[in-house]
Amino acid sequence: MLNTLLRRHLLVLGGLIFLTAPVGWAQDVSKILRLPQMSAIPSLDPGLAQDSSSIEVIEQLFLGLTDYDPKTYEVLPELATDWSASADSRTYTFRMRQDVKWSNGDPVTAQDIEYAIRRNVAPDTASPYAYVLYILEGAEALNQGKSTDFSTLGVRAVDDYTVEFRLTQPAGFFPAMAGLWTYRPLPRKAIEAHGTAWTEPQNIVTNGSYQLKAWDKGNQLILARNPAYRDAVTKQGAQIEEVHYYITPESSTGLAMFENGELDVMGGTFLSIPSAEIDRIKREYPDQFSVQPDLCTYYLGVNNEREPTNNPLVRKALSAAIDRKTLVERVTRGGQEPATTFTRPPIFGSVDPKEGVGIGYNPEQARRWLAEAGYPDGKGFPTIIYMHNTSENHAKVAQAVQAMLKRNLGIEVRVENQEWKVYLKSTAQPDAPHLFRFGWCADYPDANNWLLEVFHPTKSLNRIRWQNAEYAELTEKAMGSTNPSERLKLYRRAEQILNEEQAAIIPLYFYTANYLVHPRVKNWFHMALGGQQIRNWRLEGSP
Amino acid sequence: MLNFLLRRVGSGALSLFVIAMLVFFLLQALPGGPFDSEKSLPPEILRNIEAYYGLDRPLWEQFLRYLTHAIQGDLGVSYSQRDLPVVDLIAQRLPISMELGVYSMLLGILLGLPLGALAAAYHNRWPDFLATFLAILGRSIPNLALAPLLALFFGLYLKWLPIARWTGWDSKVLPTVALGLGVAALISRLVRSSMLQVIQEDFVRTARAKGLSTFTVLGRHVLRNALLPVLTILGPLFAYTLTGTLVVEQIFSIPGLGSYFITSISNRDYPVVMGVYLLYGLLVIVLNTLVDILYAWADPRIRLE
Repeated sequence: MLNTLLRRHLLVLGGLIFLTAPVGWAQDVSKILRLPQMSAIPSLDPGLAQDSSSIEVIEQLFLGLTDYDPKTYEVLPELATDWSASADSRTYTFRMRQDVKWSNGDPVTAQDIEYAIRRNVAPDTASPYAYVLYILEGAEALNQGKSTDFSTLGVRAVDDYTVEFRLTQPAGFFPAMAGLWTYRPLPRKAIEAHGTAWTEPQNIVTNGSYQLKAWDKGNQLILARNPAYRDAVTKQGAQIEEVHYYITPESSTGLAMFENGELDVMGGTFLSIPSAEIDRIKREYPDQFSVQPDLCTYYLGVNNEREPTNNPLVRKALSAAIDRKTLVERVTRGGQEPATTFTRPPIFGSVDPKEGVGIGYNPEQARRWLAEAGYPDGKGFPTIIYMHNTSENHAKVAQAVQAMLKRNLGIEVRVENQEWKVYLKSTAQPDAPHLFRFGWCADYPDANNWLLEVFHPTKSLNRIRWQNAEYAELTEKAMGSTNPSERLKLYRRAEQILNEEQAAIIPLYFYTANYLVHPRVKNWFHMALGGQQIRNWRLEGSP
Repeated sequence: MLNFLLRRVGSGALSLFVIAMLVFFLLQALPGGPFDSEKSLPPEILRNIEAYYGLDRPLWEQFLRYLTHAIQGDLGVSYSQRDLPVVDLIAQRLPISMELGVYSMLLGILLGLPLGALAAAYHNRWPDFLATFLAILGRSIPNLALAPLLALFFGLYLKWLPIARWTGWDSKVLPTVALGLGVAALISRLVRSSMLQVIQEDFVRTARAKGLSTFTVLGRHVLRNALLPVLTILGPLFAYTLTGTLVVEQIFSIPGLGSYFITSISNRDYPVVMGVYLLYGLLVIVLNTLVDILYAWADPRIRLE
């Protein structure tokens, strides 16, 4: 009886195994670029994307009006051939290439851009990035449902290959913004035919250097070269036949895969190299390892309303007591650069670190400032709270800062950590901790994205709870100005107030991206704004 | 029998309802929402997104709507994998976790059964000590530690097997071993103690007195009877193995349900978390019922009432 039962049990198990038996297939790896991706790709819809994994793939599939030079971040033409601004800098006209086609054969036209922007602004699209369109006339009211008259929206296809944008205010940085994914043309027919399923491989219509071949969600995504694609400037096509993205959540697993020849690139925006391994990697792969700039800044937000950090002298003392050079050389060890200002160089409007704006390491000055604030040698200074979101690397930075403040100022810091989503809530409350870490990364290469969008007293979330009329005026004026040299001056002054005179935040370092790249990948370069330009890379030989 | 099944369906449905209610309201109590991010969204954009997913409705209404849809087999759509139906997501990922679970259960049985039997047959002699040592080792090394060690040794050093991913048969060996060794250890301990208990029974003495060989006594009389408790635990153990795949999936980049479950909790992807909880609850209930039925079948003394 029991034997029969067991046999039956085993038979069922055996059957299951047979049914699920693996289907192996051989592939020619010499034409395939293999990349890790740290999380499942949330969306391939340019109107809905907001995270770096989605943007990475969208960059391969969809073209924008403009693109950036990877070294200078200068704006380059992509779908646009050239553009011009009206005298008041509130109307921008882009002329477009006429030789670009969708994967279904239709030409890519100005109407596709007009459609995309109308669709992304419409409230029922629920686009999380729609606010980057608010600079267009009428967009904000339409997106908030206060208006339903789409003829008021500041975008218009003048003819098939000319598109015009009307802005709510002069904005010198608009051509940089027009390349963002939320502004990219969309295939109207496919979206109307398939609804939310239009990005599935069997439905999707694209126009970029690669096409979607397969998308096994949460496992892998495969792109195939678009043979019709030609670069706007060089007239070159893409060379690598296929790009495979493997979803790999663990960075140590990704590193092991690279070392075992299963990945061609590891690190940076794809999947970071574990910091504990960097010393070994530098030693063992000196030719494959490189440190690239990343357009992000690691800073300590300060609660500017809470005792005792509501006193600028206290904030300045804290900032001057932190030895950023030691921090990056001994603690983070990834080649990061010490920061005393917020906007990450070389973004337009950033201050060159050589100019010495901001507060550098100066323990004596720090002690003087703390004494002036009424706490000589740290006497009577209450224990302050330094909070970070749970992560081994953030914990190391926090402990180092805690030790530096104790040694240089004689004050006590309590380090706490919280899970990310809880942390976001805690740091947006009036009783937010005295110090809390954040990293800010560029969406588009202009200081407006940093100084106004993060710390403006009313036009940003203003987690640091800081009010400064001069700062608000400077950043607003810089946003509206079309005179580059004037804008540079305004941003420089704003950085000075934020980081030096008021020490409303404490910048710690500028991020870098560490990469391991297999020698068979040629022409590789790191695009710090996200969305790697794989179309310009080449593959030679097998791994 | 029918009576038993009906009662099981009733109590199972009640359990699922309680699970759904608890998880739904506990998720709401967790600080932070699905659309919070560092670049916090302007409130009007957040409103659009919440309206899109029906999160602007009162909580009880959301819960009732969830229940009515869930009964019809619609578990909603994921927030983080925009517009991906949770049912599709489970359909894509559950078979992979199942496959891994089945392999490791199989490995556990094939390894644990003989090891346990050996230990019992040579009670308090060196094979017993060896088997006990191996079992304790297997139980005490968590797969969190075992998995990277296996990848390091068989992948990086020996280059016999791939480090990660779930593709050809060779990629499935290491995850199966990482998960299956613990199962083997558990089963071998269970078989050993259960056999030792059976050995002391009167009918075993009778069998011995009849002059049967030790092998026949152990194989035909002891092992058969000793398997009953093992059978009992197979159901819950399989459910446990399925839910326990998450660490192994994470380390080996296996696109199963477990690894995604962790991510969806930290993303506050409510529909996915709810869906997976309900699924796991359902699995445990179904497997337990199945084992109860098998048990009655295997042992005529047990009646399903």
